[in-house]
Amino acid sequence: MSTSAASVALPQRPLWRRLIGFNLLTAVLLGIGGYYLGWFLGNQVTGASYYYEPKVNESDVSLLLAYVMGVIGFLAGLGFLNYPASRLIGRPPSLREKEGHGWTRYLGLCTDHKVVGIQYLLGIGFFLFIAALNAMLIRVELLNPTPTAFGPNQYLSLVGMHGTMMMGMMTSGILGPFANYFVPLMIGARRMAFPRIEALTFWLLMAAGFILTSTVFFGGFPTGWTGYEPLNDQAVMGMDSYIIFFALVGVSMALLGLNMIATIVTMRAPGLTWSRLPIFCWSVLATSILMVLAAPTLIATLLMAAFDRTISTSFFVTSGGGSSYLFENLFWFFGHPEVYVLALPGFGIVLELLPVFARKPLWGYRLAVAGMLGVSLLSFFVWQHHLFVSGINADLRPFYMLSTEIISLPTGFIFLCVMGTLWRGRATFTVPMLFCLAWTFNFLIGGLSGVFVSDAPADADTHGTFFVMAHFHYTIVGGLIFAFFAAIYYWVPKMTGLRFNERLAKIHFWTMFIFFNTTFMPLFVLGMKGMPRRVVDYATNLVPLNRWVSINAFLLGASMLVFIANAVYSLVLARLPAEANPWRSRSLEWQTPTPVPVNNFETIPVIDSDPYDYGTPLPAHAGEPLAAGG
Amino acid sequence: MSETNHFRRLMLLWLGASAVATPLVVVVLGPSLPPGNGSAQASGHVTDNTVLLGMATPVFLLVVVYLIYAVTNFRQQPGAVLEGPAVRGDARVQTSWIVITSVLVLALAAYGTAELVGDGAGSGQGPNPAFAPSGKKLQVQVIAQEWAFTYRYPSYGGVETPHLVIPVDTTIEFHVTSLDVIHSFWAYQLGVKADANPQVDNIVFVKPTKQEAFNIRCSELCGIWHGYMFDTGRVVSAAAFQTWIRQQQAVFAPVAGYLPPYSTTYLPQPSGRGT
Amino acid sequence: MAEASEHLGAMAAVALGVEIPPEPPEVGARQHYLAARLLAGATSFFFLAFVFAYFYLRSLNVEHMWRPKGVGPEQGYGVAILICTLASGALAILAARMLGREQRSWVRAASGALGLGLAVVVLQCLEWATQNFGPASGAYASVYCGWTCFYVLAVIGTLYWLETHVATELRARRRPAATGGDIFEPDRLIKPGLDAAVFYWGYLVGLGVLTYIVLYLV
Repeated sequence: MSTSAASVALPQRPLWRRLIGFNLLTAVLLGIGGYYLGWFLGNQVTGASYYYEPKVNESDVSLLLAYVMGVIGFLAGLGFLNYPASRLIGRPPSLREKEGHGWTRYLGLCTDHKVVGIQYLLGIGFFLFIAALNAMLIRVELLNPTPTAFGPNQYLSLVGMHGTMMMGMMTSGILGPFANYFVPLMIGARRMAFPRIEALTFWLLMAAGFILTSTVFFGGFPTGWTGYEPLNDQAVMGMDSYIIFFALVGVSMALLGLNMIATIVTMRAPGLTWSRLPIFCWSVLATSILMVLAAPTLIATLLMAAFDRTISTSFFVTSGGGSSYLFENLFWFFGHPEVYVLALPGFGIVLELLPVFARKPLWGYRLAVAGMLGVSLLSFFVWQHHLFVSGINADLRPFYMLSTEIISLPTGFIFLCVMGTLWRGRATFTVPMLFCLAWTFNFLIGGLSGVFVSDAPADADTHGTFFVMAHFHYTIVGGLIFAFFAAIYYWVPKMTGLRFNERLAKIHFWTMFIFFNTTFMPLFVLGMKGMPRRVVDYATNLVPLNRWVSINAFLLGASMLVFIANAVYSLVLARLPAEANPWRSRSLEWQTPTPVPVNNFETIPVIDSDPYDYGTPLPAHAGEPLAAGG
Repeated sequence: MSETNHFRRLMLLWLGASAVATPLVVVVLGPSLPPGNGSAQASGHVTDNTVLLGMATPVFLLVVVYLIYAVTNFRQQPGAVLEGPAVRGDARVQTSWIVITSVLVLALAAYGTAELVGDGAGSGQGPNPAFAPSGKKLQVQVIAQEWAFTYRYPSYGGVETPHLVIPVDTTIEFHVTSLDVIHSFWAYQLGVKADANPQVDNIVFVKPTKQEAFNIRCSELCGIWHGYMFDTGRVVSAAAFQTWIRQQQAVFAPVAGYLPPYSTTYLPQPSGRGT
Repeated sequence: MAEASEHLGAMAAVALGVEIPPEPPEVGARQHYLAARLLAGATSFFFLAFVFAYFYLRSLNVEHMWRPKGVGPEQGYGVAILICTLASGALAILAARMLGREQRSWVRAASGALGLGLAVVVLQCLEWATQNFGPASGAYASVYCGWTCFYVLAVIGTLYWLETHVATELRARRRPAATGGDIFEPDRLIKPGLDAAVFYWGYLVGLGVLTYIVLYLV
């Protein structure tokens, strides 16, 4: 037995010894323990005080405490409290921990940004699947104009879970997997700025996801993803799941954004000036600014709601001097930046991928950057367009109409850059390219329908109807999810060294594109014909269209199954090997070896141009990987 | 093919498509756009939707025609590994794009504001409406609660009825309020939508122009029976309205004494938890 | 068995890549600097919600329940908390300056700042226990309870942040950190780390002044 064998002697330890330590099993056990401890303490608090007597049956205090302590236990079990504790007693700072090898590193705290990226991809994929299943169930119910499959309460819970999970989880849909994995590679860094925080954002999000799912045990919540007060205050205990979920997502978002900004600002390789930064990193930066600033407002708002539900404050309860307007203002002050948190990374992906497949430099780089930052800045000044009919500051409607319509200017920049990059290019229509083109079409419809909603007079018809629902599904599914899949098909060969089956991928694309449009296009008509959102019972004249939409939604769901089948077949069963640089990209991340070493770069590369240096004939051997550091 | 030829061909295709599609959309689709001509405000919305659709059509066609053109023309030949021209931007194109889109956007905002200022455009304006039509108005209070609307007529002794009937060609001043959570009063054919907030008097104006029945729905999620919070109202002639309101006063006279005095808002019940 | 483990050893070497030199502390220093400012930005938007709630509910005064008669904070506690906060902030800034001039007694100033910071927490708890209104006494009481509660939590977090630097310094004096880790001379991170923590503490002190003005004076 040499010393090197001793250092990797882990597999020889008996099973029971390996199960003890900071790992997922400990985390789950401590999480459950923390949950019951919190529940017990909550019951002690509420039981001891006559003040809480009227509410003791519902024990919101107990549930909130149980959730919070459960999350703390979970994180402690994963090992997140070790480093803070060691710092408390003065141990020197360190950068990395737990970067082992083997598949088990994906199941616990790992500070390697590439592991976190893949954790995010799988975790978010899982919750995306759950939320999409909810959507399928919603469409099952809407096959008939009266409740058949579910009662009104289950239906509202489904609607709420679908919306909340999508809006919460998918905020990190692109930043989580792809920015964590590729931003350090693109900027020539060996790590993220705060690797532990990076891992924390992921595990917080997972804890949040399961907390939201657990709402079904507490009666669900009737408010939809907006959680409007005072309905929020009246709702049963399931509402607490919503509150904790969104607050945790807010913490995760803010930390993710902080980490991204710190990474991009401080860790760029020498020579990577701001004007050479890949456009995807710019979109991550613009998104992160929104995350850092908007998410704290959400957290504060939800904590106010939690206080209203537990210790009887009256932020939003009119009989105690509160106001439901306060919640609407605060929520949408977060909520509108939030929707751009969803859209902006999509802009980045599309503009990053188009030059590779059009074999041209990115057209209008500065305009694209201005567009993203412009959207980011303006999105803080538009929130009351969600409240055009609410009666809040009705005299300010012209201002909010103007600011909302002005946002279409920077968004228009992105479209011009897309069109300019395609101009006289030499496009190959690979699957990622098809998804980018589909993004352009979908987001165009999303943007143009937004004009109807942003127009204050016309909004009186469309507000709160399926028209609005179709509008934001076009921007979020059509914008974010299509870009998400473009990124999957483009980057998974780099992440895994494996590629997707091309034929199945094309079937997935075409079915998804067609059924997406046949599902959501009729919703505009339904909304215009008077179908409100979130109703379980609707007028009989809307039945045929609703059935059409439901059937197409199922087909859209089937298209997702094609993708899952492809992923299982290509990446797990057949393990189709990918070329080193299948798209002949010049971006830095493709110049690293696959799999990427833990430290990414042997020597930090020196950058002398932006990554869009296409447009000159390639030498014959360009498909082969360049040496790292080139 | 040279740059200018591509550009010219694209412009021709786009202008041709727009010249056909835009009038078609405006003339054929426009009049059938919702919410119909049930009121002055609703007619305004139809015009509004038509104008927006007319403006959106050429923009939509520009991108779509461009995409189709690009996909068919700017592509790699099979088996070839060619690169496109290394163009990184064009100051003229970028400047004109910015100018044109800015003009469009400002025009849209100006148009929307003008529509709003005239008669409030049928959306809720809070307790102190800034954009009110002139002339005599009939006040009707809409009281939302979980999960029904009731209506009070302050100029007829504050009678409260579960039915909404309003006279034609009269400006109605709806005062929308709620007794519990946020609801939204949506009279589809009248083009009226106003949120009902607890402790808020949300005023909205409408001038019905057609004698017809109209659909009322709650359009803000308000709890489990939100899907069932709908109703039908009627626009009738002034004389018929007088007859109807007398009848209502007579029918509801026995309960008049139990009603709280008319007020713009009512204190909600302390939150009855557990819906 | 030996063969198998040697094979694993080779795999581990491939997976971990080549030995890279430890990172210079300047990178971490820049990140601390930026993170403190970003955190301050995030905190501003967090408390902005409470500031907004304060003025919004105050101007609406729904049901005359903004501030029913008899609801008011204890002015004595307010002034005491304010003085402790300001003094703690001043000591923290002094500590950072002293460390900049490499005076070893900066630890004493920093400890003083920590003690006064703890006093802020204790005083706030005492005020909650003795004040004559509860969270259910109207809108002002709601804002007051929420705002002070999260302000105290932020203070506790920042005190922890300051404390880690004091603890690291004390340990480093007994036993300097090894240089073989992933940061080259990790002890050189104490100064930028302390600067960042003091910046954030200074920001929170400013927020404390705002808290006093809004909750006690306006």
